[in-house]
Amino acid sequence: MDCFQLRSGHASFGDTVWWKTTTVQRVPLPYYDMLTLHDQFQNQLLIGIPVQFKGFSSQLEKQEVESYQNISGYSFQFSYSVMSAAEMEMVYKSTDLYHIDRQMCAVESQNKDELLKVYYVGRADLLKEYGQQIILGNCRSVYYIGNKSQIDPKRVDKLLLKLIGATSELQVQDTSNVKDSLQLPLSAGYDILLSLLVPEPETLESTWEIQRGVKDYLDPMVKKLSRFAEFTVRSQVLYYVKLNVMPRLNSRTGIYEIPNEQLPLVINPVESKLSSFVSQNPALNFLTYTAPCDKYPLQILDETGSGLATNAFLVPQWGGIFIYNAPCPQQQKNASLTSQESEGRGWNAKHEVSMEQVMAVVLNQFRSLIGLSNKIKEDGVLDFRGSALRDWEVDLLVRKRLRSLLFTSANTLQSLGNLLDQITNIVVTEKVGWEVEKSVQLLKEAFDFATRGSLAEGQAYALEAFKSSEIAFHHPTNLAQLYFPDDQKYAIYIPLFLPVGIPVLLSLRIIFAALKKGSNKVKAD
Amino acid sequence: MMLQRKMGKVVVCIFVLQLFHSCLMTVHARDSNEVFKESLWVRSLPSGHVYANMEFVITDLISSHNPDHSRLFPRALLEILNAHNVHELHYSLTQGYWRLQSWGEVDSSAPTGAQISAWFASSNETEADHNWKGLTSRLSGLTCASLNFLDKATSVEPMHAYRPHANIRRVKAPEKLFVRVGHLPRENYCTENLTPWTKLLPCGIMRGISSLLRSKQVFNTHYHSAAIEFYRLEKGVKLKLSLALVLDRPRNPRPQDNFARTVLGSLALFPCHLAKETNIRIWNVTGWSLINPEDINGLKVMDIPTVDGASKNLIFTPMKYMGGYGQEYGEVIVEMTNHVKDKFLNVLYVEVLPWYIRPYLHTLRMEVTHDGHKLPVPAGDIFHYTPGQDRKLMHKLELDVSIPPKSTVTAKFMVEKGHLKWDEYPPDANHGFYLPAARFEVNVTGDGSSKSNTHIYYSRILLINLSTPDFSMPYNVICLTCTVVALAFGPIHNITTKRLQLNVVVSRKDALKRFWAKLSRKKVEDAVQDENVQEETSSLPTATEEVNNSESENIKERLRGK
Repeated sequence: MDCFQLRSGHASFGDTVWWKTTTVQRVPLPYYDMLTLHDQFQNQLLIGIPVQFKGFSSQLEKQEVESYQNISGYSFQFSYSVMSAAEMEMVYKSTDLYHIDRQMCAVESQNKDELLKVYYVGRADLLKEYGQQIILGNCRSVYYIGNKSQIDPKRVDKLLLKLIGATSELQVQDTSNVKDSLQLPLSAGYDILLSLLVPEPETLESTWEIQRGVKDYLDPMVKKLSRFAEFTVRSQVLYYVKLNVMPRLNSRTGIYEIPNEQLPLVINPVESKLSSFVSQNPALNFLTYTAPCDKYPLQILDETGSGLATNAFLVPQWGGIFIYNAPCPQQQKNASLTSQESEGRGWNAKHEVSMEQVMAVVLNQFRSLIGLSNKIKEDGVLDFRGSALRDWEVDLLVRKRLRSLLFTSANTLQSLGNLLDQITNIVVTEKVGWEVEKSVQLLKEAFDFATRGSLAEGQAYALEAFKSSEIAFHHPTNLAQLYFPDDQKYAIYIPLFLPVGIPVLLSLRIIFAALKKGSNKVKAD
Repeated sequence: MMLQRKMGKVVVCIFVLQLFHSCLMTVHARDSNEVFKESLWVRSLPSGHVYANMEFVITDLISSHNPDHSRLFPRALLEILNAHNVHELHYSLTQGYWRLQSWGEVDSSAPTGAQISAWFASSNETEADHNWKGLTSRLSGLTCASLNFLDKATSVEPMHAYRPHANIRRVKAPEKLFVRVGHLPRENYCTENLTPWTKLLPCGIMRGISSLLRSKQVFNTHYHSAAIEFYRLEKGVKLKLSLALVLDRPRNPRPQDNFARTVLGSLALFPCHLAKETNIRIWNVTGWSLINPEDINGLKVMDIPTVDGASKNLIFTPMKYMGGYGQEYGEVIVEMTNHVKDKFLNVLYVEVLPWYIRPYLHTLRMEVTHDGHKLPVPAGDIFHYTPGQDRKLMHKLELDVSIPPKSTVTAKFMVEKGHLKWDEYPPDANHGFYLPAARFEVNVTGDGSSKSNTHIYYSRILLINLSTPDFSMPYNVICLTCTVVALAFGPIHNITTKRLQLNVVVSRKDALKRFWAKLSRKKVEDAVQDENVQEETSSLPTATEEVNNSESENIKERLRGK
């Protein structure tokens, strides 16, 4: 009896050691939140957009207000106030709408709220110039030009659709999946790389004053976008690099044409010179290709076969390519061929690339890449002044990004939860547990801020949650035991148990036969 | 609008966007002042080989150099160097060893394998280690060499050697300059390393002096070494890419043999428009003569004068080898020879050993051999040793010694060869382990010149044997155990489950009879079965058993009868 107890004691001690050393380490996780947050966001996430009407004599009807509570995931919150004396002066004592807008922007840059203000502008001269309409300014001011100071819900409709990035009623219905796939991949920051391609520097050496160009054109835009994401700008010049195009000479016009179907293959030769070994952010590449002199002028054709006015094309999520036709030294070519050739240095003509032309294309492509409309003239929107981005457009981008940050991180957590549920030997270390915990907390905070319409805080929390969820999902310790145990089982147990198992199984047969025989004998008796 | 024009603002009308930018800058500094120069040195070696050294230098000597916007500098490399605050970098990847004895004095020496040394700014020691790890990993991606294996445990921080060459930029107060050196003696130089190196050149491999390179010929050389050097100067930055080749020269060159075609294996030199200077120099026994870049295409092999053994101009030759026997201890022997007739050499000797080769410093002996006489050597000014730690730190020894004219200094010390864990052995463990080359920084005394005239030499790398386990052992153990278990299990199983029974021994004839009897009975049984389909099947075996029993009874009786 004593002996048996001793043995069972050994066994239980051995069992605990065995259990301790072989169990998969798993830190408790908030599984309920992980699995439900995504659905919760899908059902309940309404990003608030506060709008203030100033100087109107009426308010929106109750049912109107209710109908604006949920438009494709956004909820408008309205407030009303009278115009202050200073605002009255700005609106009624300025020369034109641009002047009003400039003053409003100056005031706005001082007090940093994210409130969109709709001003009633009852000026006869502006009414005559623009007609009855709502015009969006360059900052967060909107001008309601009309002869009655009452809010017309039909006109407000159009304004609100513009604020959420939809141009018509139809687009609100489908969440435009196609458009989303063309937009930038989600990341904390982005790199902009501007490259000038000079295929034949000996015939025409093109140079560009890129530092000035970036300072004048890109920097104001990047500064404004810093609320949206961090952008770094770099540039390089690549010599003796030719794009992979076979232009056809159109003998009628004397233009070398690149057919539309060649465009997908164009970037292959330069791809290797565009990568970075330092940054992990997605890169936006803007190539400016100076046409080689034997293929001058170079023109991109569209699908229908007619020349593209911009001579540039966009590669979604990657960047854009612009064909720049630099004037080639045609006359010199014939005159001084022999003397110059003997020096082995070509004709040595230099050309300064027009930064205005390049940057216009770059900015235009950049707007498309980050998901804004790049129409030359948009109805009901004031022209650009100051930079190529309007404040309310940046708000629109931030809202979209906030939404995708929330959904992506909730989705990541959900996938992690499901994965842990399905595969039982994934290790969950304390670090991973902590990141998941943090991500869930931050997501909840971000959700609250988003509903209230505080974009800056909401985005900051959502970004941290996104980072934590990515760390948790991709943490290398997750895989620590995933591939090991099965291999071990097969490699060690099979050679050991197979030779032992066969006679045991065979003897089982004999035992069964004997038992059967015994029972038969009993029966026979 | 009037006001704005007065202020000199620029109104830009663009066909797509109407931009209005408030740019006050009308006068600004030039974007960059980047200059690219390339040069090629060709000379015969005393052994009859041809030595070709290509150098590509890119400089931007203005203080307002902006690293984000490059024209000629390779952007990918510059990005890495800026991200890690590198002030000076030396990287070399070398195949083969420069044979001082037969090829003469070396221009720029590099150890066999990959080596990188860097001076970089960091705020403290831990950050410096982190910075170094990042730098090596990223350079590894750029050069396709295994530099990512260089981290704190595989690199050293020299105290006296590897001083910065140039007038590199000073750093501001909280940050300090740190130096790290790593060497991978086993690294091979392949095409995958040459291609990324040529991509760093502004004109690539199709233009300029590099258009003389054909990768087939590069890897058919006796020695080739590609290097990257970078200096962040007080004013601007400097990048030097170089490639040294020791090529075969045809034994009996014909007068019409073209140099570029027969020796370099290339067609011709295609000019690079971006190079401000393209210098090609040929050694004509007394000095370098400059030739026109176009003339290289017409250069004949005969045009390169051969030199004799007297022109070796040897100053210093190092020799390092492993002595001793057995797998436990060994002896590292380093011989340093001064070839100069009338001058002393000041040599700073740097030895770095991996943690598993443990030097016994108390056994260090140094003696000088002069005209066959052996004398002890007094210690120099510098003697710096940091012991290694298992798996954490390498052993490092730096010492200086003065070598008298025409004599040899021999340094010897005993080492213990450690044991590694089974998973620390590299693939193909029986190939052996490479020990890094020793470095010698040699100054000729009485030269009147300053420190800039330091010559650098490397010893050969060593291949040594460590006690290597039999890696098939675990497999053998599993096989053996399984066999033993299976063999032991069979008899035990049989003994415990089967009973010994007395059996009747019958002759062969009887066995045949029984066989026939069995067959005929089976036929009968089948017939019976067919007839009595309705009969109970359970009764059948009992019937046969009875037959069986009766048969054996018969046999027994017959035996008894006999």
